Amino acid sequence: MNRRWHPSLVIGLVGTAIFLALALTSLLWTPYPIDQIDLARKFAGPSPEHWLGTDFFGRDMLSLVMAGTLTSFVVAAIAVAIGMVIGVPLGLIAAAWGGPVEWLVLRVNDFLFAFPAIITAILITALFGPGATNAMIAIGIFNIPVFARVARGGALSLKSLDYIGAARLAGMGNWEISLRHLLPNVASLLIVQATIQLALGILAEAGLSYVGLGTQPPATSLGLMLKDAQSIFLLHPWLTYVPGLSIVLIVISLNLAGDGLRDMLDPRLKREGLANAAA
Amino acid sequence: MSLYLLRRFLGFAITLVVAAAAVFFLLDRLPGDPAQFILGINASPDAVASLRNQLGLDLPLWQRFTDWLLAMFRGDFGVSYTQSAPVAALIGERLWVTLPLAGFAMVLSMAIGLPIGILAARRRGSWLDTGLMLLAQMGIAVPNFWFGMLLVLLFSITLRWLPPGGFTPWQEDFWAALRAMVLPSLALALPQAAILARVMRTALVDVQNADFIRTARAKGMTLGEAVWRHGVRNALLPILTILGLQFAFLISGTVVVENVFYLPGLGRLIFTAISERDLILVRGAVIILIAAVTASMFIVDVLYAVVDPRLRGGLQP
Amino acid sequence: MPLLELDDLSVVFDGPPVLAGVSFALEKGERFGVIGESGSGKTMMALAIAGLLPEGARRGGAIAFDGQRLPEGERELARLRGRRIAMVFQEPLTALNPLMRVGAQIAEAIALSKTNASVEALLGEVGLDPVHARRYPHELSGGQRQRIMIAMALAGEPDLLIADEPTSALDLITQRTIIDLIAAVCDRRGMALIFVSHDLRAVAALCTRVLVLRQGAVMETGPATDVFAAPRAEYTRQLIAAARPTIGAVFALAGAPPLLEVRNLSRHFRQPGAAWFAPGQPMAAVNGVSFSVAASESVAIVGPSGCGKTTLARIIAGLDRATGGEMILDAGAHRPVHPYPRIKSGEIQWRGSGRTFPTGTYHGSNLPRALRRDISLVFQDPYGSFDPRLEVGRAVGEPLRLERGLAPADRLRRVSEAVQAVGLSPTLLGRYPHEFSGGQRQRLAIARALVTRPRLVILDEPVSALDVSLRGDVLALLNRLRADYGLAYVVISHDLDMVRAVSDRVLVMEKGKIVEEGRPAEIFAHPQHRLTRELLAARLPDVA
Repeated sequence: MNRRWHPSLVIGLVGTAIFLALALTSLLWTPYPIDQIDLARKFAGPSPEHWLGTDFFGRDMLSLVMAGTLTSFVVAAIAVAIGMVIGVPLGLIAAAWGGPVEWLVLRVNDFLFAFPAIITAILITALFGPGATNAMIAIGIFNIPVFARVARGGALSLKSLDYIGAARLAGMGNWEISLRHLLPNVASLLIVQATIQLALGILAEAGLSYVGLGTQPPATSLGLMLKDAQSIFLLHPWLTYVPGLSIVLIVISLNLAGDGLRDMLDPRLKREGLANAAA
Repeated sequence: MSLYLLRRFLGFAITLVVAAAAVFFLLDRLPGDPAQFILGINASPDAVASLRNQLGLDLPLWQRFTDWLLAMFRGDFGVSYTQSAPVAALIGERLWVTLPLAGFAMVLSMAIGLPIGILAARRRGSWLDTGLMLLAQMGIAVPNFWFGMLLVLLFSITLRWLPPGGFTPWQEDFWAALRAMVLPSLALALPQAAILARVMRTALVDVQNADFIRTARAKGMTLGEAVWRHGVRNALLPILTILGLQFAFLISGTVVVENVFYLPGLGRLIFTAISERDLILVRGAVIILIAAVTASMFIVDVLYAVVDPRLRGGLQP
Repeated sequence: MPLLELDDLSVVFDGPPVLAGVSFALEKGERFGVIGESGSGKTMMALAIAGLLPEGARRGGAIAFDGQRLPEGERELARLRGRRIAMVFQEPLTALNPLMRVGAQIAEAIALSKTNASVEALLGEVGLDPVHARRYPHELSGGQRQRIMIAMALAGEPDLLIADEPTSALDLITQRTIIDLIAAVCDRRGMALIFVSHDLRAVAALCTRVLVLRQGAVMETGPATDVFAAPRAEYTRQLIAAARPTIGAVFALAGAPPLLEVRNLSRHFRQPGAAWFAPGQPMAAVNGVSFSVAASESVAIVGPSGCGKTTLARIIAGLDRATGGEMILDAGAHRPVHPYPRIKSGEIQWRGSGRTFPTGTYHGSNLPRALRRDISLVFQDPYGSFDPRLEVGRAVGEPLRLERGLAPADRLRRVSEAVQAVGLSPTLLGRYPHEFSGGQRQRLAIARALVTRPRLVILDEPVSALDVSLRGDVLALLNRLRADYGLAYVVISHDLDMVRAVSDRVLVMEKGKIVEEGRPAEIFAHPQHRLTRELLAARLPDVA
């Protein structure tokens, strides 16, 4: 392991930490309650009372951003969790067992790849109505084949190594080998992929909320703020700058952190992770 | 070659059928009666019964599915409940907006992203390289619909060069339609171009260390010549992988971006259908989207075989 | 005027120099050998002369080609490479562009060097049929690919050919043909040759002058005959000794009971077809093999790559499953005294003991768990055979899971015992694999194989991946362990000389069948089968 701290990693982690802090703070306190409407003060620009101004309903933008960031993080994180919890075992199983099991997992993967988040969100919404949970599930479902593919790819490149053979000779079965030998060695690949998927999840959540399939009022999310701004942004562009820039900054921080992690952990990862870079 | 393609085509076909089945059964598995769901609680029993008949809900499940599947092959996607028109026609109309949009965005993203990636790789380590990659880093982080809004603010409001939204059909005014496509295509294309630029650069930089580049230099080429003549083709392989996935994201993206520019594409059709609970329309549109996504992955597989002779299963020594 | 003159050449990355103080002169048409093991800097020297040093390398000293200093500019240097200096590398598969037909790659070399050569003529010169020009690299064998590399190198009619380990990745028989080809080509064209290798015999066969490198420093240089006949440096002496075949100690086996019997074993593979449920034609990697191994006997299986010996080893060890035939692991009533005895060399005493060994018929991976501790496998590659994230102590102790009810204190004792038996200290057990050298790792692999106190150890190319100077020690260790613990060995190798040093009996394998069998001395003196004769003929003459 390279012990020198990569500058990308530092910047990325700091940026992510700032936004995480903002998000978590919103659980306890925001400058103003996010549902506090004050029509007299609507469309205000930045001022000492409202650092980021107010929106269509006179709600404080800073508070909205803080709460919205929290929603975005939560949705993206749960989606990553879904993807990893289901996808990683699938990928490892496919690599460890091979044969018909692998074939089945690959077909399941192909099937899941046919359902980008928006399509799944459309289906779920058509059936059950919109909501943040829909976004989590929809994004999570598309994360599964991504993680399965990364886990399988990483494990396959290890499978042919002799120490797996030695483990079999020692009487270890497929489960044990997956757990004790394959998983720890693909862990670094998975961590890097998780940061990428987190960033993509935030973007996806924003998109889904923007078209009305994700977070619904009275909750707020960065995408929802953009949806609200859609009808009037030509007159009041500030309302789009704030949430949009927030999204951009969070995603850049996460991506920088991911890049830095990847460089630090193993230069070889860059090549293997290449095909998954934008998945 | 043909064996490989046959295998991939079978896979594609199976995936499509299974996905269609999933959509069909999902929309069918509603708690309660689908016809009731569509018409609402207060509908008269007769209306519900007639809709049930129209939907063929009285038939056994498997038969309904196969009937539906075969009908789709004939081009019959059913009749939209809310608009009393064939779903296929409604979708077809909208595809004239969505497909060109996706196509332009794809071409634009490649035309912008790939050369930037190559340039950055050639001048690796220079200020130009760092600057371009920083731009790319920002490009990836930008939500495409927000970028669309920014483009409208710049080009429509401030500069007044292009329309802020709306769409005239191709038949009415070709050039106006084209102009309406510019900003949405750009909005979609730029984040993807940023990804392509980064992937291209990394692929080229990696290829620089490959053994066959060293051989090419040993034959008498400079590093730059070797990378250009040998490296780019080999770097295409990871690019192709990305492109396949990119198309899936582009399709998803068009659905969202149409909202920014008020384009009458597939996306707006779907959202209207959802709010009006027209499940037949939703079903048809979703199948089209899934087919587009799966087909793009299959095309990527075909291109792989074209680029990489190792996949074509040739002679053994 | 010498064709090439090196004056105090050095190559540095960050840190200590990987090469320093190299000076020699090369005349036109002369053949110069550079001998060194891993880490000696020999590849860096070759790359430095060709101007292909990797990024981050700084070159010191002077290189003069045909009286002029090597140009600094990349373009001039590149043109020089095309026309006057050519290079052939070690691994032909990755050295050729996988997406381009080989004929096109040769044509490119011709175009770059602006000569009138033709692709067909070059292919003919390296002994390939012109029909191969339309093939892709992955469709050719290793030997054919290396010929393509040589053809490309010759396109520009260079004055100097640098060959960096051109045969190391190849089959034994193919190695010989490539070396002969290089010699013929250099003769015919009057080309100078710099031949870089760790294989002393190859260098001795090809070159008139040699240079010995170790850890970046020159140990010795001079005419080949002088250096090999009367080496001045200790290191050179070690290398020469390692290149000479030694005869292993054979001890009395009379009365040894049979341990393993292999009956008509076969392993068929299905070629990949449309999908896993529609396979192609079956191919037999192992085809009706029968032999037996007596307790404490060492049997070697030799053959060219692809003959099926590794598949056979894996089946015996229990990693793969035979599709036909069976194996019987037999204890009989005779087994060495329990616990593991140290037996006086030359005598093995057989006595009855309390522990009962079941007799087992198996087909490979269905080897019963109770019998698994009696068979161990030592893998070829010391770098891939240990999990980089496990301490070696835990890795070596992994097979102990096969013994139920072993207390942790006992585990530790067994692991320490095994590690000491291979000459390493138990204090090293907490370290990670990357902290050990290749030779040490191979010893650890042997320790891991011993920890369950097996009766049969299968060794798959146990020393091929090691530096030449280390091989002798490991082979001596293997012989000693066999004598001390009464182990039986099945040794898989392509190297006939190594086999002579460790085995009592040799089986020659071709395309899945055993074609000849006998004691090493017999086989060497009177080979019967065509393959055996080819293998012996491919051996390069002994050094000095």
